[in-house]
Amino acid sequence: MKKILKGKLVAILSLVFLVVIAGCGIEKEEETSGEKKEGGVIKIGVIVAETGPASTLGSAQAKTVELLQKQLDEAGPIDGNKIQLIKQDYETNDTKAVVAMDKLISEGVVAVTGATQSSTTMAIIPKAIEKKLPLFTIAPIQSDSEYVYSMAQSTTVIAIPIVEYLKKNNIKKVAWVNASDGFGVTGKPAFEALAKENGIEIIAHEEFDATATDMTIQLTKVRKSNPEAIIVWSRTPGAGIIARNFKALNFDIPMIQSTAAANQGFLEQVKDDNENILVVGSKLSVIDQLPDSDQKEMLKAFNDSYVKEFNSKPDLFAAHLLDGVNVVVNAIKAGNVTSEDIHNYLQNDLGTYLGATGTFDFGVSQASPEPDGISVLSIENNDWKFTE
Amino acid sequence: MDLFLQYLITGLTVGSIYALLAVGFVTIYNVTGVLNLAQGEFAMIGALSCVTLVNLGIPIFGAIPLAILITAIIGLAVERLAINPARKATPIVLVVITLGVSIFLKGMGLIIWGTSPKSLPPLVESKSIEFMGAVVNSQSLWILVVLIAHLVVLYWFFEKTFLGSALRASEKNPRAASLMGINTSTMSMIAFTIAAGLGAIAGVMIAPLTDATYEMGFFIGIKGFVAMIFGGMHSIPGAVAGGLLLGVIEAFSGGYISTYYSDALAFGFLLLVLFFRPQGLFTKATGERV
Repeated sequence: MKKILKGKLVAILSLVFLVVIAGCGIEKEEETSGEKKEGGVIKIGVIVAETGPASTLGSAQAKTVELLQKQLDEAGPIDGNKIQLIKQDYETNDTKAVVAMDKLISEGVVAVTGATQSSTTMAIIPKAIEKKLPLFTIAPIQSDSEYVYSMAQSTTVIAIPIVEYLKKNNIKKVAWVNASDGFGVTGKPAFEALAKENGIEIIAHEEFDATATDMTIQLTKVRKSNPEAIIVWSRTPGAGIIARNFKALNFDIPMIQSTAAANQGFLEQVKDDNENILVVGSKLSVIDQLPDSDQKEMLKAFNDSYVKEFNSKPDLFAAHLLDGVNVVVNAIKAGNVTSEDIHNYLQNDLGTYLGATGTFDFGVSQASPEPDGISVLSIENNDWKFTE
Repeated sequence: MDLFLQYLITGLTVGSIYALLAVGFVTIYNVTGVLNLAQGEFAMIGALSCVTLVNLGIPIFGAIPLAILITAIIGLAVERLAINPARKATPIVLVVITLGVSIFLKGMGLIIWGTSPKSLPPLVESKSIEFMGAVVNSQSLWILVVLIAHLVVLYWFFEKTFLGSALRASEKNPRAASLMGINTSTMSMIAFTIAAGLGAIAGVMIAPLTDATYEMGFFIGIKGFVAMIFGGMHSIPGAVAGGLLLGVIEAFSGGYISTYYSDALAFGFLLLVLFFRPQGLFTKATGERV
């Protein structure tokens, strides 16, 4: 009886084995035939968090992909090649993003834009480098690889408008308060270096837990050293709570917050009590107040088509994605249809490119666009106000 | 001197938030013997549903009772659907179930309300008050009022009413309580409903200060739990005192030592309490009261 069972088991196992092998074979066949059929199609991969907790940032990016695909279809093929954007939702799960990256590579994309979060981006960078695939990152990261092009401002670049604002208002002594999480701690080193060059000194530094419910202690402590401005590096809701504590304590100096506070949630948190509160935000939020320029027209075109399609406003994160895809489309228009050619074109021939995030010049830096896309914004009538 | 006073006031403000949460913890623990790890989520649901009701145009004084009612019904549903079917299980299993409920409620909060923080107007719109050089937020005075009301009403309810005594009896000795004709299963349901309502009150009181997000429950829940341990698990006045003490320790250690370590110092103090007075700071170690 036992022997028979054993025999059956072996038979079943070998059958399973056969099926698996056969399955692999079939899959391979499909891939090759697929490639042959779609000769006139150039694919660009996009990895975003359309669902899951990071969808607050990712859903606008996913919508931008839809908008771009629609516009590309309307414009028609470029030199006989149709451009297809392949959007992968990684569900705010780094592992799924890596799988999505593999899938995109196997589909033969020429470049990839993504991912929504920094940690996810770090997880997919090695794959891009291995395959020599240009990767356009849309989250703040640090990478020295020649294949990584950052569409998001680096912390140093975000600090530039702050330092300029301080210089213009003759402020020399600032207090620095940040959240003690991953985002909060990145700001100070970048700012400090830049501030020192410009004769600005950080005279007090305090931290708070990113989930804390009150920052009165931190503000009371920095007040002792009489700063001329307070700089805060925190995400919401901490960013909004400290702004409210700041008003309750009757400070009469400006509080400057990072790009992490440049969103509707923060505006709602500081509603009706937002005097002296400044935020480094995208010019995308204040298009109508900008002086006439190519940048204004370009931002307006993006904003209007987005509003028309989705009835909501695009944000800075959507702008990063727009730029990531458009840079590749530009390279394709210049006659580059393989990863290698696109990479070489961006390295040597692109020059400056005016994106929605800011001006890109990959010859100078691949780590960040220039700071011309962001500005220190104040708040008036519960909406952003351009100050320059 | 004004710094000292500012730290003290901030500590009491933050501490009263923890105390509100701790009261809900103690209520369930005293009746069912279960630590309800979803207590913070009840506060979250109370706060966020109140925000939604206010945005629908309901005045704040109507929105708050409605939000408390909604949360109490959710508390009742949680007890009937998750706790009651497993009531024969050991307490540790029930605690793990409440952890699951907490994660589930947080997930639902994320789906319904999204990730951006929502603010709630305070009960009475007024500027913060200057008091001997220190600033007092008027909402924190309201929180203190509510806290005192909690103490009085809950004392009266648990000590002076029949239902309150029945609730206490079913934790002290469930078997004897059953023999006396008390339905312990119903008592557990009532305890969860009351605790969810208390959680919702905590949520709507603190949201004007801290804003409400789907993930607010975890942090204040942990702090409320610590306050409960300071107070010795069973005592509502002890939990309130524990909450205020925790807030004051955090404020002073942040103010006079370093804001980097205020959490570490507060939890260090918790360890000391557990080593030297595991029965709590505010209870007499007399063993079981008969």
